[in-house]
Amino acid sequence: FKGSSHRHVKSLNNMAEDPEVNQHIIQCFMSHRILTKKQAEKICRQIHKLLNVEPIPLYQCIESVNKQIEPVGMKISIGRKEQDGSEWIGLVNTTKDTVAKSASTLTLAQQGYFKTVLELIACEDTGVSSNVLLRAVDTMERKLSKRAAQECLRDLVKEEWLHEIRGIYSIGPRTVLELVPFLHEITGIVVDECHLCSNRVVMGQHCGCENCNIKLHLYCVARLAKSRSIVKCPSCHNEWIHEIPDITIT
Amino acid sequence: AETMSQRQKVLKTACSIMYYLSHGRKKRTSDVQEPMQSSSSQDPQTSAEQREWNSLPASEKKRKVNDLVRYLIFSSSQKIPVKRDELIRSVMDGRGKSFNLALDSANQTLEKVFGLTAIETKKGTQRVYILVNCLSSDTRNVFTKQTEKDLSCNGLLCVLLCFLMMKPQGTATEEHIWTLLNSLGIEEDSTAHPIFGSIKDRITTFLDQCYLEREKKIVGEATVFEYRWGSRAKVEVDKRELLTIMSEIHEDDFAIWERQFGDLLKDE
Repeated sequence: FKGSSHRHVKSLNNMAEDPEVNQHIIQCFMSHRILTKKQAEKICRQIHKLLNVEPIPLYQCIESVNKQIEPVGMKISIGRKEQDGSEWIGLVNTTKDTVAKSASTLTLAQQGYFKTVLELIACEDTGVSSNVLLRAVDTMERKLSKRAAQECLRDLVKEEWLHEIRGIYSIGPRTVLELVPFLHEITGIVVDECHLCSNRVVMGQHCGCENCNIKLHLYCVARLAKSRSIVKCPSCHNEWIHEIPDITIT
Repeated sequence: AETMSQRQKVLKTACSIMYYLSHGRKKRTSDVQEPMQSSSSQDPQTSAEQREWNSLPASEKKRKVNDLVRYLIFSSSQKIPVKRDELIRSVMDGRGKSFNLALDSANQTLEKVFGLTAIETKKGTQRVYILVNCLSSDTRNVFTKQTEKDLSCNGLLCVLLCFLMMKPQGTATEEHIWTLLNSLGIEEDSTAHPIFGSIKDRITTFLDQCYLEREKKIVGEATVFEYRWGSRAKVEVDKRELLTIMSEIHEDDFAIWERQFGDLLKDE
């Protein structure tokens, strides 16, 4: 078992990654599952400081960790929250097998309800109201009471699978990182690609034109608006018909 | 009947333990006990084991080892031990003989990449595996998520472990444990303690996770349950640290806890 009581500053040759640093990073992510980029950067700095190692940038640490955990079907993934474009970092499965399902903190009934919720949310550009989601328990095979469904929704928001604002539910950052790549498999719904950044988009805006049906993330639209007074569709160049989201992203 | 001051003392103990646990105390990892049964490093590997393992191509061996690592990590998320039989069936396609060799490789990955190790222990009559943290105890809890509930449950567990440690032979009956809990204001009937929820469920969880062990004993005409430290507690919890905390709280000299100190030295 490791754990020396004598620590001196470890200098790095060729910026080699310290195995102890990586172990702490992985255990941190196994525990938190998902963090904002700011939180992750802070923790990365703190880990290096505590272990008396020259700090390495977060992205480099993540790359090094990923090389080690990729054979085991895990990955530290980076993505943007759909509602505000903020960057989040989380530990995800790269395979959807039964072992991973058994590790879920949700019961089978809750997993079934979450799937139903995703099916409803994935086909909308905006969120879905809680009324619609709660009514959906009536259609389910595994019965769930309305109160249990409400608790389930609350837990899903707490764990960042869903986002809720004023009773409207949409997908949360953890779903973006872990489930959106599998959304077609899970719900049977084909998810659009954002025309600007090419990542998948659920909550977004469509161009108004009949012939041009491109879709953009809210934060991608906001980015278009940054240096222009009139926002035009990047594909058909007609004026963008929607209200420009008030989002500033780094 | 316990006096008021005794009750306050026990309460003070419990609160202080919870405080110390939440702020992480120094633990020397050299005190962590050796695995109870190191899988195959004790006996020389039999040629039957080797033959079965080597009959697989290298890529297949690698895949099995990775699957084993993955299975252990995912099924240990709630700290419930994994049965050896289940591992052999799910990962090794039923090949039991090569399991020990595969596990040795898996442990290399687990230790190097994750800072964890799989230790074999017994749950009743079954051979099971628990994942234990190898990282130094002064750094390993600093960056992990600890909710109020986690900390409180840890505190409760520590109270129970301390209590058992003080008993002759390290065991106590269920009745004694409830006496202790009652003195801390935790009633047996309560299913909705504001922090712990159902205490009975909490204790059952500790039993499932191998922090506690319980044996059914016939005493005269009655059946009693006897509780003691479980195999996970024996590996994860440092008795010296626990004793130090206890003696600090009671403001006694360490050496006054002579019997426990003696046992500790024997264990070390």
